[in-house]
Amino acid sequence: MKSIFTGGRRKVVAVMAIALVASLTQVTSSGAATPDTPKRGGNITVGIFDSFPGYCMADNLANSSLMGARTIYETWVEQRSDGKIVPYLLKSFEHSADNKTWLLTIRDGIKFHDGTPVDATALLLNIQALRGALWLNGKLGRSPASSGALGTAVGFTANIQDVVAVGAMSVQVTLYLPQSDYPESLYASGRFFARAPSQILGTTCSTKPVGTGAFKLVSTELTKLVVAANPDYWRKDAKGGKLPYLDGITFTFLPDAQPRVSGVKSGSLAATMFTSATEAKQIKDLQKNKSLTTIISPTDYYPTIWMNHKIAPFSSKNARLALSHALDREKWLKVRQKGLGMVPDSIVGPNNILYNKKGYAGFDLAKAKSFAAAYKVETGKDLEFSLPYVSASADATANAILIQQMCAAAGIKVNLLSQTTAEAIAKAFPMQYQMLPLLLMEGTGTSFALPFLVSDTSGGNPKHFITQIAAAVPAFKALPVYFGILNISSFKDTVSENLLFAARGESNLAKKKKLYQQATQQIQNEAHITNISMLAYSLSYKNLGGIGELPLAAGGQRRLVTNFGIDWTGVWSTK
Amino acid sequence: MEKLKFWLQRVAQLFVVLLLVTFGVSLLVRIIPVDLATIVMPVADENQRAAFRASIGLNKGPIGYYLQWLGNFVQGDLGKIYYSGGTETVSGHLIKAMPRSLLLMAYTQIFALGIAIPLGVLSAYRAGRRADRVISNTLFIFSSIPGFAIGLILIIVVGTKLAWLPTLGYATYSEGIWEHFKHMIMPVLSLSFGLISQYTRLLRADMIASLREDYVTMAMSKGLSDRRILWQHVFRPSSITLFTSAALSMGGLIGGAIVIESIFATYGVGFEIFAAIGGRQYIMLQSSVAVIALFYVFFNLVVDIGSGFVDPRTRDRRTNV
Repeated sequence: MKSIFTGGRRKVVAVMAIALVASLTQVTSSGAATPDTPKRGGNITVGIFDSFPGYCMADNLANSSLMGARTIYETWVEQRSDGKIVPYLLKSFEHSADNKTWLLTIRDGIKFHDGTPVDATALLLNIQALRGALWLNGKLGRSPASSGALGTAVGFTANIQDVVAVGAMSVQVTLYLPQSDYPESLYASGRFFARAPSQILGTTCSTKPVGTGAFKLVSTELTKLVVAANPDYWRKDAKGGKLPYLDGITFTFLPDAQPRVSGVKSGSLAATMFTSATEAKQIKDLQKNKSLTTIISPTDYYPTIWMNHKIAPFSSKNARLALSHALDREKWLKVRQKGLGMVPDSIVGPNNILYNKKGYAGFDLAKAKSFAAAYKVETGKDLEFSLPYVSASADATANAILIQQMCAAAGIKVNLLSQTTAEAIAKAFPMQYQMLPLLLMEGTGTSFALPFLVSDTSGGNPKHFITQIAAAVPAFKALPVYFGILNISSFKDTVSENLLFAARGESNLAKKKKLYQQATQQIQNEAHITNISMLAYSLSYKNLGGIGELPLAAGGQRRLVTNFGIDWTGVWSTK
Repeated sequence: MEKLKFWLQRVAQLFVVLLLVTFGVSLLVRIIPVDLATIVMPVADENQRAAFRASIGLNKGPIGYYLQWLGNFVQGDLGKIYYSGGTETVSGHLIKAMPRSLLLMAYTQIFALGIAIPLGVLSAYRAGRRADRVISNTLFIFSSIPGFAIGLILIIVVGTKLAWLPTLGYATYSEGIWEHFKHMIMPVLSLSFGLISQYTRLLRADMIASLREDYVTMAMSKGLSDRRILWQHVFRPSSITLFTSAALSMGGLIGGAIVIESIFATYGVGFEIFAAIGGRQYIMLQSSVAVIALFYVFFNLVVDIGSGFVDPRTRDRRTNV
C-alpha cells in the first residue's frame, strides 16, 4: 500500500492481486538489447525504494522489497502475462459447480529451504495462518499456533468457510460465498507466499524467511536483504540446467531516487526500481538512456482518495462530489507525473474488470463549486477538510499542495496535515482521518479491489470462526473489525456489495464483467471514493540478460514487470 | 596542581556540554506533536503501546525519560529501531556505520590537509603574487560550491559518463583495498574541497603573520634556506589554528556528512541519520546525535591537549588564566 503522497517508500497493507486481462502490450521497454546466452555466476546489487519490515503474515512488504522477498518465496499460483492465474507450486486447482469448493493439489517433489516437503500440511498451515486461525490458537493455548501478529490478510481471506487436508498433497477450501476467481485470492498479487511451517510456527517468523524460491536467505535487516542461490531449486532452465544463474543478489534500500539513478547508470547497481508516484522524471530520464534498459509496468495501480463516510464533511454526498469534480486530473498527469501514466476516468484503470466510466465524477470546476455550495446549504458550513500527507520528499509535499490549490479553485479549503507513514497507517486502519489518499487497489482482477469496496469481506458469514469466537468470548468481540477494516472509506452500500459478490460468484465472464461494471457505476454515482492518478512501476537495468524469458512452470510467461519488479530466477549477469 | 585543576575543569565543562546536548535532543522526542508509540508501533494495540512507553520511560516526565535513556546509554543500550517485523538495536546499526564514517572522515582529513598544507605554505610564501592569487581564487570558487553539488558533479562525470568509479555503496578492506578506495574517492573529494579551501586560507594567514616575526628575520639573516625557514621555523607555530580547526571539524564531519553519505549511500552514520529522519526513528536519531556529540566533545578535548603539545605557550597561557 502506498500513498501517492508518501514518495513511495512503504506499503503496509497487503495489496493486490489478480488479472483477467493483464496486457503486456502496455509494458514498454527502452534501451540496450539483451544478450541471449545465459551465463552462470556473479553477485549483483539491486536498488529498491522500500525497506524490509519483516517476513511474517502481518509484515507487509511493499513493491520493491516484495521483489526481494519473492526471490526467497514463491506462490501457490502465478499470474501469466495475459492475466490468467495458473498453478505454480500447485499442480492443479479444481472447483465445484457452485464455485464454493476448491481442491488445491500440490506439485510433487518441492522442498522448502529447510528441507521439509511442500505438502498439504504446509499449504493448510499457510492458509490458516493468513486467516488468523493460528494466531487465535496461540491466544487460546491451542496448537498449532503462530507467533505472528494478526494482519490484514484476515480480511482478504474472510470468504473461506473451512479448509482441510484431503490427502498428502491436497487441500480442500470451502468458501462461504461462491467465488469463481478464488485462485486470484490465493495469489493476492504475489503476496500470499508459501512459507515453511518452521517459519510460521517458529519464533523468528518475521526475521527468518524460509521459502521454496530460487534464492535462500543470507542476511536481512531493515535496509538490506542478501540472498544466495538455492542449490536445490526445483525448476530447471529450457536446457534442463540448474537455476538460478546468479550466485547471489543484494537488495539495498535507497530511499532517495538520485543514488538509484546514478547507481544504475554507473553500474554500481545492476538494476533498480522506481515508482511513477514521485519519480516520473527519473523514469523518463532513464528511458532516454541508451546504455540502459528500462521496462515499465502497465498503469495498473490505482491510488484512491478514500473519503471517510462516518464523519463530516464526507458523510455528505455533496462534499464527496465537490472534491471529485475539483480534481484536475489532466493537470496532475502533466505536472506531477510528467505525462507518465494516464488520466483516470474510473476508480480503476481500463485493464481492470471493474473499469466503467459511467457515473465517474471527473474534473468539472463548475460542478465542484455547485456541490460545495450545496454542501453549505445542507450543513451551514463551508466545505473544509484536512489532507494527510507524508512529507517524505519534496515531490510528496508538492503533490499535496497541488490538490490544495485545485480545491481552493473550487472554493474548498484544504488544511495540509503532515504525517509519518506509520501514523498514516495507524490512523487509516481503522480510518480516523476525514480523507486519505492511499494506493490499495491494483491489477486487472478484483481480489485486490473488492475487499476495499465492501463493508464485510466475510459476506456476513455467521459461521466464520472469528465471528463465532467474537460472539462467545468478550475478549475477542472486536475481531470482526478485520472484515471491514480494508474499506477505509467506511461506506456500506448494499447495492454495490450485492453486485460485487454476485459478480465474484459468476462463472460466465460476460455476465461477471457486466455485474462488476454495474457495481463500479453505483460506487461512482455515490462518489464513495475517487482518485486523481493511475500509477506504474519501472525497472532499469544494465548488463543483465534473461529478464522476462523464463517461462512459468505450467507454461506461458509471467508478467514482465509489476509493482514487485521482475522474477530473478532466470536472470544472468553479462559482466 | 594548577594544570591538573585546569584539565579537570576542562573535562567537567565538556561533560556538562555533553549532558546539555543529549538532554536537548531528548526533548525532541517529548515535543514532537505525536505519540512516539503510534509512530514506532502503528499496528499495535493500546496495551502494547503503553508497555512500549513504559519500557523507554515515555510515561515519565522529561527528566525521568532523559535519566532512563542516559542510564541505558552509558551501559551501551542505545535503544531500538522499530518496525512491524521486529526491532533492531541502534548500537548494532552504529557499530556498523561508525567505522565507515570514521574512515571517511579520516581519509577526508588526510586528503584535505595533504593538499591544503603545501598550498597554504606556497600561498603564504608567494603572498600577493600570481601563484597566491591563482590559488586563492581557485579555492574561493571551490569553497562556494557545496559539497553535495561537487558530489553530484563527480557522480555525473566520473561515475556515469566516464564510469571510472562506483557511485554508491561501501566496500570493506576484505573486498579488496582498491575496491575499498574506489568507493571512497568521490565521497572524500566531495567533503574535502570545502575543507581544503578553509585550511589553506587559515594556514596562509597564520604563516604570513609568522613570516613577519623577528625570529624569521633572524633566521634569514643567518642564511638559512627558504625551505628550512618555512617548514621548520614558520610552519610549526603557524599550524596551531589549522590543526585546531581540523580537529574540531572531525566531530562535525561525522554528522555533517549526512547529505554526502546519502548521495553515495555509504551506509555510515550520516546515512543512518538520514534514514532515521525519513523513517521517524526518533530514538535512533536521539542516540546518533548523542554519539556525534560525544565524538565532538572528545575531539575538542584532543585539540586542547594536542595544541598544548604543539605549542607549549598555549598550555601555559591556559593554565595561568
